[in-house]
Amino acid sequence: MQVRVLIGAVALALAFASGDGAAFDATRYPDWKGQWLRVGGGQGAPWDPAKPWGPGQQAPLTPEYQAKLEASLADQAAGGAGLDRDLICMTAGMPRMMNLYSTMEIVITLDQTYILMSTFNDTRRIFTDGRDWPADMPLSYAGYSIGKWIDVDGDGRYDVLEVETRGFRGMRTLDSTSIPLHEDNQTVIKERIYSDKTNPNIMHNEITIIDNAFTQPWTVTKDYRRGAQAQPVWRESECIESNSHVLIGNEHYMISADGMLMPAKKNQAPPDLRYFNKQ
Amino acid sequence: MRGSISLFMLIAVLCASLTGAPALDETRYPDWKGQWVRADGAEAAQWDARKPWGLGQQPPLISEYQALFEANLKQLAVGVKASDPTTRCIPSAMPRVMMAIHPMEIVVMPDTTYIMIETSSTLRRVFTDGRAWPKEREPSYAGYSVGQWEDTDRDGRFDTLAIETRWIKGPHSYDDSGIPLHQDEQAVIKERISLDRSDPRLLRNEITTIDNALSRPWTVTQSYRRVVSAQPVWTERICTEDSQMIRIGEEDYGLGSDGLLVPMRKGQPSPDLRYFNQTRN
Amino acid sequence: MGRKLTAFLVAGGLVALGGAAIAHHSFAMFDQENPIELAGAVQEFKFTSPHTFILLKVSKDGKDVVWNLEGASPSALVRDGWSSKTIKPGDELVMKIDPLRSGAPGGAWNVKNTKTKEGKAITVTH
Repeated sequence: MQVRVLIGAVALALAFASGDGAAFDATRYPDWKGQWLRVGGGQGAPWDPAKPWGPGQQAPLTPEYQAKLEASLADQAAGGAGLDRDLICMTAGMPRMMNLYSTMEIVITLDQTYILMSTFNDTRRIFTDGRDWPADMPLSYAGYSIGKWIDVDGDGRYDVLEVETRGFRGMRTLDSTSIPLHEDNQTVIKERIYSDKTNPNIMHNEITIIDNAFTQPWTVTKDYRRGAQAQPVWRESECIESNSHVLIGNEHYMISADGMLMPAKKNQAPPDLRYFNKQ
Repeated sequence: MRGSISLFMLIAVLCASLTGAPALDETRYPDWKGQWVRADGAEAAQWDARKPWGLGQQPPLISEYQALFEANLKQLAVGVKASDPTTRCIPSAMPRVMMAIHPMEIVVMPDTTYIMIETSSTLRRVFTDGRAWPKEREPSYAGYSVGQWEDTDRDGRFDTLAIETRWIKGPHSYDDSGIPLHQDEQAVIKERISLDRSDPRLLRNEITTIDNALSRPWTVTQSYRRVVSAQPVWTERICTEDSQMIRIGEEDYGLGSDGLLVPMRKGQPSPDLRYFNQTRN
Repeated sequence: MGRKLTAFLVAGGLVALGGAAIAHHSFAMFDQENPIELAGAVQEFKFTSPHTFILLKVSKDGKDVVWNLEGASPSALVRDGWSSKTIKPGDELVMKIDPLRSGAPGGAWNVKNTKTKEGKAITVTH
């Protein structure tokens, strides 16, 4: 009799634990709370933090896109914007926002993991509800992300978030040198996000880009560290309010202290004002 | 008997250990998941949807700010939108952003409730961890929000989130008619958010603004309707991409489809090019 | 990788970096090879994200020119101990800046090369 009751008790406990549609059990997920900051990355926050900024990145670009990069670098060296659109407050998009220019917060819920970036107020939703890729995927700079939690070491707790992101639009580049992605926007980005095994205040993001501007998939690992503040300060983006860079046509100009247009390049001509002459 | 008691204790221990210690007991919080849209429709872009746009809003402004409001309306009438910083992609500030002209999501976590609104990619963090107000904070468009959950009907489940928001950056307005808040950036916004008791598809936000441009606190209720969809669509809104406007000096200019500067109104002077004359050699 | 990261953190994490170092956009428009020195008074300090700006009024040959100087993000400045109140309108500074390649009054500034008019580092008191 007591054995039967015991078996029943265990069954009850198991039924109670599994719930009826999954209450969120935070103990099954890694502790990624708090404010995350970029680790290292050197000058200009290059895409691959392990390599020098600029040509040192050795991006596996096709000849056509290598030429675009070189033209961009040359234009920037002369004072132009090159292919960089971040400077006029366009969103960084994916994967560039994972350079983590400012601060990041990760909010884990049962169905979604949110990655909240301070720069440009970029928000990523990573759907972990088992959904399929939508037939009519909304296109965006941030892309559409589907993720899966994995318990790699079998200890009953998830430790890796695997994410795939598709569904892009817009001209996107990887960093301030403007390593370009293909204009066909067929990029696929795969990420493995996990805590460092020896230091839970370090997080790694192994990012693989599959893109037609590249001759092969390109994988880099970015590291983030957790800030120590119990009540971190969160800043929102005020890019437009103070921004001093404008693009008119394909020309980059800077705004002066008194709000006027200034040339950014030596001997740069003023903007074409043909539409004013017609009035 | 003793055996049964031991067994019950065993059951209790098993249950406790297997369920772990969930950080958020969802049964204690209201279900605000999903996508919320402005119940009165995005076309009803006035602060108080019950009243007409513009002067019909009857904001209880002090005379100085009533005069400013009327001046803003006159400017709008001739196509000058200088009173509305959102036309230059400056984010909608509090409380305006809570009109939810674009969809909104609310994520309730133990220490913080996140309110995400597509407009200006706004993220509000409402801290519900019992923290004290900091001595000061840099003003921001979203402001700094501290909230407290209330169980007003004492059924053991929270139903109302009471929020206070301070340190809101200006200048800003309640809506695109240019009803101004005081330039001293001392506005305090109090909200009470709860599901409509008779219709749980509606979320009500009773917003009270206490501001030195007002002769008294001004309370307006915003209403949001839950979108019925298992997978709502979220739209990325990049104002700088859509806006195609540049401010040079005191003038707003447009960018044509060819990327060149275009006047925004008849007779608008071309931009001052003084720095080009100085630096060319 | 783990050991390198640990060493980096032990060494003090992020050191004071110039504006170019953690810019979200290229700073190549500013001539980092040929910095110039400016002495003037702060007209405005914009403590804004993603970039801060110092508007510095410089008097030369009887004429005032206000320079628009772009710097690191508020988050980066906070790590250097700065806040929106570290400098204020009227403060006199001596700055070594990377000027716009065009010669127009714009450039990039950083904490390390920003000093009081006496040539001392900016004292952070909060």
